[in-house]
Amino acid sequence: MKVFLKTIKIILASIFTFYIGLVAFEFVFKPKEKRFSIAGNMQGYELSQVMFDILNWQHPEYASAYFERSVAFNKRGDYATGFHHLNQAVELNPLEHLGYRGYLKLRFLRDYKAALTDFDRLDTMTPEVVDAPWGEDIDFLRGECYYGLGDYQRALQHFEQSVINQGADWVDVQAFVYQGLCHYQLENYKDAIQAYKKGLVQYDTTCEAYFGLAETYLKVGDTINAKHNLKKAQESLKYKRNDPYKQFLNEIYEEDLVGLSNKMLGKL
Amino acid sequence: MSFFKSKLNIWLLVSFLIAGILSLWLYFKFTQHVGDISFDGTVDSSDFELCGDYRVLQYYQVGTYFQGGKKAIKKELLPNVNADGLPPNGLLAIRFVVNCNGETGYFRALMVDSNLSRAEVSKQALEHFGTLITKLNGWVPGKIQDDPMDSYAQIVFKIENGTITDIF
Repeated sequence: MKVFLKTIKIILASIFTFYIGLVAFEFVFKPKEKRFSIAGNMQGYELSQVMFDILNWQHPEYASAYFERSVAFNKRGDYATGFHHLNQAVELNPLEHLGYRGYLKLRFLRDYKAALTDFDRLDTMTPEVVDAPWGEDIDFLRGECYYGLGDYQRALQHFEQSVINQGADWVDVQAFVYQGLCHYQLENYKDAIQAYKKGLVQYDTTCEAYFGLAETYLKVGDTINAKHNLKKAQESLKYKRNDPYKQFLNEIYEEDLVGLSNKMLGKL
Repeated sequence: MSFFKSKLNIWLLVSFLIAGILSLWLYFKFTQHVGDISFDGTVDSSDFELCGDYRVLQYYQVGTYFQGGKKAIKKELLPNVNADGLPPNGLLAIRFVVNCNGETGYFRALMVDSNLSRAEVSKQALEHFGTLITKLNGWVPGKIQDDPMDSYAQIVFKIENGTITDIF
């Protein structure tokens, strides 16, 4: 009986010790890239933040760990904590993380000047490359910044540059839509119509372009074309560009179409 | 106390205690999430209730939205909102829960100044924003397999020179 009890105790103590060792390995001794991947896949969990705490402590120069842990905070509106971590990543590896920070400042904070500072700095660091912060053309993003600032002339220049950078077939179709919006704001209605139509050559389901056309035609008094394009916008609204996190500066909704329709009825 | 005279017993006890504490800690960290909000009787209205006791997900995970988007919210709130008691420049994110009926509650404020450093928000200011958001009518709760769910959502107010200039 005594031997049996002793054996049980040894087995249990070994299991507990193995378990402690396993947890220690997973959190402290596993290769940092593997721990980074696990913590990244558990984004938002406090456990993930603990893993990043340990990574930051063990590898203070590992920029990606600061970047990755910032994501959950910024998505949840805690910009103080999120940017505290992200700024550390940028400081350690600006080439890798500056573009993402600029993108966040543009789309999440709508701090257009700060976003431009990051994009311009990135561009200066890589003069021979057309940068793509978070996968989007740098001039498209700069154009969006100037559009947000209300500097439509400069915005237009960057949206045109984006088409040159990417080619008319490959550029984000919204570059044409924004060109149309800029021309509209600058009261160049003919150019606005032309820009929207260029967008429709690329994708004939671009509801933002149809909506822009409807708005512009209404402005110049062509109610027939305005009505036709509003109908097209309605039909293609299901293809509109949206983002699960944030509303785009030029995003349109059913309510906008109804509003324009009412405006049109008042004018007809 | 003959139990402690045996090295095996001490090993068993210590490993058991460490493993137990570790498991509790792991459980706690695995069930807590960044940005979670729990009921606080000092600031939360008891009229607002969650539909279930499951984990509340984020708006972008379940597709919670406001009819007409944030621009509709901006149109409705901008004339009525004020930045009294807040830093003159920065961003105020109001985070809250949209329950499965499209009602809102559990408002929390996360404010940063123009340097993106945390700034305090008074209880009065939070109440002001919470009251306005509660009145918004048009939240469509996100769904999982056709079942409407409670979820977190947030509205960001941009403050420039003491005035709210954008809502998104």
